[in-house]
Amino acid sequence: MTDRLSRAVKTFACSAVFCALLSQAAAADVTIQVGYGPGGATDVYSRIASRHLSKYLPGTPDVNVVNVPGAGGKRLLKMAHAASETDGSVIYAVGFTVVTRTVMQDSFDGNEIAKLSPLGSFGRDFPFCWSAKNVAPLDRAALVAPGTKYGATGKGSSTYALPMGIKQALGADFNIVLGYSGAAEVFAALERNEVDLVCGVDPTNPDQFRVAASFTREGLDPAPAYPVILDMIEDDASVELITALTDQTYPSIPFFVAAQTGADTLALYREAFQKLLVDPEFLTDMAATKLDLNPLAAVELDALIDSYATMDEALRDRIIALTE
Amino acid sequence: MDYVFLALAEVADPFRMAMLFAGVVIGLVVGVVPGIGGVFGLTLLLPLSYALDPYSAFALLLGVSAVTTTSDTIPAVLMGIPGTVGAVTTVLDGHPMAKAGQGNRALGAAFASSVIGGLFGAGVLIACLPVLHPLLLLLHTADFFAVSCVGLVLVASVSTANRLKGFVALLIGLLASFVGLDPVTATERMTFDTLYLWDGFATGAVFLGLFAVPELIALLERGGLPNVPVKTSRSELLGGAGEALRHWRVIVRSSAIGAVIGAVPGVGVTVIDWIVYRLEEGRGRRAGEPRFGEGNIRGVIAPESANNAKEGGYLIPTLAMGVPGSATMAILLGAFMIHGLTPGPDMLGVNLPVTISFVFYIAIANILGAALCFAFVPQLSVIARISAPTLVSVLLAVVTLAAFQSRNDLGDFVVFVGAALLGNVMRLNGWPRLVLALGFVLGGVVERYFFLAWQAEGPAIMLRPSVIVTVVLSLLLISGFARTPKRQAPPPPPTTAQTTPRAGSSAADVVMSVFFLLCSVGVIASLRTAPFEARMFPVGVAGLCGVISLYSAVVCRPRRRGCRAGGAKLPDPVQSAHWSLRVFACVGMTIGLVYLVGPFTGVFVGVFLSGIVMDGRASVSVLRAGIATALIYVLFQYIAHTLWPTPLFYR
Repeated sequence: MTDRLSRAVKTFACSAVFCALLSQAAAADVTIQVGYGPGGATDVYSRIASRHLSKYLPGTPDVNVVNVPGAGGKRLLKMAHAASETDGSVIYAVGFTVVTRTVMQDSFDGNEIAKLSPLGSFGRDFPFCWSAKNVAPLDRAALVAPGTKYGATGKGSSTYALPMGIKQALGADFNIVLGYSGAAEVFAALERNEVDLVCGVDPTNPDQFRVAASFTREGLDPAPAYPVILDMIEDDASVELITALTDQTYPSIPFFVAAQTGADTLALYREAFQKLLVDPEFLTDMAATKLDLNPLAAVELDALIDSYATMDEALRDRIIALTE
Repeated sequence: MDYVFLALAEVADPFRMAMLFAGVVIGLVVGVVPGIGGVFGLTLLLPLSYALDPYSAFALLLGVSAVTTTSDTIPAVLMGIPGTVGAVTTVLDGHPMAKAGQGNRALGAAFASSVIGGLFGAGVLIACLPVLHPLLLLLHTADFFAVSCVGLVLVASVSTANRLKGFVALLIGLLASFVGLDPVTATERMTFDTLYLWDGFATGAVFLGLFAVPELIALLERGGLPNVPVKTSRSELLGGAGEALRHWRVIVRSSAIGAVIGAVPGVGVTVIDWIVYRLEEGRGRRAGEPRFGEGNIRGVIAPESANNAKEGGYLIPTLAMGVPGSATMAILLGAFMIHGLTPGPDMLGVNLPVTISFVFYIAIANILGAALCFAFVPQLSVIARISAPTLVSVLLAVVTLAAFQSRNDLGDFVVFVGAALLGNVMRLNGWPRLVLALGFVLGGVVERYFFLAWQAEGPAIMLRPSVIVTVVLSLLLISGFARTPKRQAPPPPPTTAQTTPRAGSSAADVVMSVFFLLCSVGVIASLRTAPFEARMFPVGVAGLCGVISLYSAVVCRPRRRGCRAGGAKLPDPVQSAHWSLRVFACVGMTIGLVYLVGPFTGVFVGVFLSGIVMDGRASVSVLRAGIATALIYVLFQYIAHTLWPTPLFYR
């Protein structure tokens, strides 16, 4: 009996040590943490990147993707700010709107501004408002008419912030139907004419929709066939407001590492991202998805984040008030 | 027709069939292990699908999602633990059948129903293809609201032994669903200032806590798996399948409802199962049949047909408009993007062969899945030989760590333990846990669709035909269920496996009623300054819950009809307390160890000590700990790359 007990204790002790080693080994890879659920655009971009990024990172580690959804990306952002790693073992894929809103909120609250180090963005978007093709095109007046309905997902999203910006900038009194569960649902509502317009996100099937308005002239023909919101605004403060709101949606798929990541590691990671963007296999995978690849460099992201951290207080307060 | 042959030729490719087979096998495994479901399986396989062509990729992915609700029946029937949320309703009659020595009959009926339901769903999908897009354009949010309301009314008309308890459980479930940011004003509701609760309670952790832990305690109380014959007879399985075929009307009815309601985004499989179950129960019991909830085979056939048929329904909004019908469909949408497929008219135009191939994949996967289940269930009977402490100590670790997969947050453990405590107290006192779970699933859906419909269309929603039909149907259902069913045949004589009825403990019921009353008051107090939209639903439900709980606690007398769990067979309180304390100590110990020393050491030591606590066998406990740790490592680390909390010991 004593022998059996002794053997059991020895086996237990050895196994426990083995398990402890297993725990340590489990932390050896690089993980891309995505702030949203599986299946969305950020998730798809991250998964494609994870297949090819490894060969450009020091030591060619395995790159895994883990979804950390919650509070529209804010949960992952909070985790990233609290993270302690300095070796770049975690890459964060979280929306730029959430990042800049947190920067503004920190500035508003008088707290130290929590930052992340950007690696780059896979996309850059100039936001549009979309209407359904199965109804007559909306004219300039209809965009701000009292009966017009804009569809939106959540208060923290650009689908809500941009129409609110139009409301403030143009003194309009239209309705915003708030609470759709995602871009797909809000575009489905647009297609069945439950709402008239959706702004700030692009449809996956653009054949069913038409652009009803653009927010800026950047990236457009000299004479676009639809109104430009900035052209409709007269006062400078409102122009600044709309510009700041559109800039929030500009880098569409940004990636970050923790702020305390060592300078050498950060430089290596940024270089790896640049190499990835010209990797033929990566480009082939991206081409198969039909998703846009319109990269933005890390330095440009840094400059944009700084612009929100040092933003004029009145403008900052106006943006925060918009979505409260 | 050319497209059908084109799709068939693509599907028949041996490599694609191999992918489908692989997907089916993985789906069956995922369905059997409690706590991980289709979402888990698809997330794991999504990266593998990159390297495949679209036909092969969707063969793999649809193979997984089509059959998880086939194999999840196995633990539901044998252990009373649903493999996925899709088997929660199957437990109601499947597990009592197993307890009465008819586990194989129940499984045979379930597998046959599943395969026919799956084929029916595929049929509905292909029949709808020509009108898919225009059909969905006709449906507004108000119609989705109407359908979810029908679900709520069906749940509200609970026919448990005690309707009062059922109604309070439903209201508590609804209140739990309102935790988090409200959909209109984004006001924090009952979040206790935690970011974790912004998205409400994690559904996975709630379901595992409510159902898995209490059933594991019940397993220890009984001393093992109930009367499952070790020498399994295939004839019993086939007999069950034959019986399902004889109830073909039940299968057709339930499959049709499953496929149609599956097309409404957000209305989950649990609700679909419950609706068909309630409708079947409402049709009355035939002579010689056991009561529903005590082993009626129709209570297995109906949900099992519906939960496989819903897969075809889920694909309708996913394919036609890119609106995922469920969480698994959201992942499939991601796969669409990866392979350059755009949901919408293209799927019915240039990509029509791909869409038709989905129908074939679902049909073949269901046939393959059921065939594999029929083939391998006899081998599974070996688990009946495993001692209860071994089974419980290993499964307890798996479900605890599976709960953590919900959001990879320590909050998952808190929600899991809280739900487990509530679930166990409810089990011990005859409160219907399933009704609470259904309220939890439906509450947020009803509230969100109501506000969306109201904002978009205002009072005009009341004039939509679907809403009018819903109101009429609801009134009919309420009046129908208020009466005693007419066609109930007298119950058959009790079998030896049935335990002696014991009335619910009125003292415990009063304590629970007071607890729910306090919860209701707490909800109302916490939302007193919230905007109207944020408090309308929670305060209304809390008010109703408070009044009924007060009535239940103060006015209701033990001997008055409707106040007691009449006829409910409740566990022995002393034995239950004995095992409940041990199990919760083991869960707490495992979570604490995971937090202190990491997942693998924590699970190893936790399972070892759990084994010692349960039967004192040290050498066997080392083996149990090794098996549990290996399972956790393979499932959650090697395959799923879980983000574990940094162990306190290593910080």
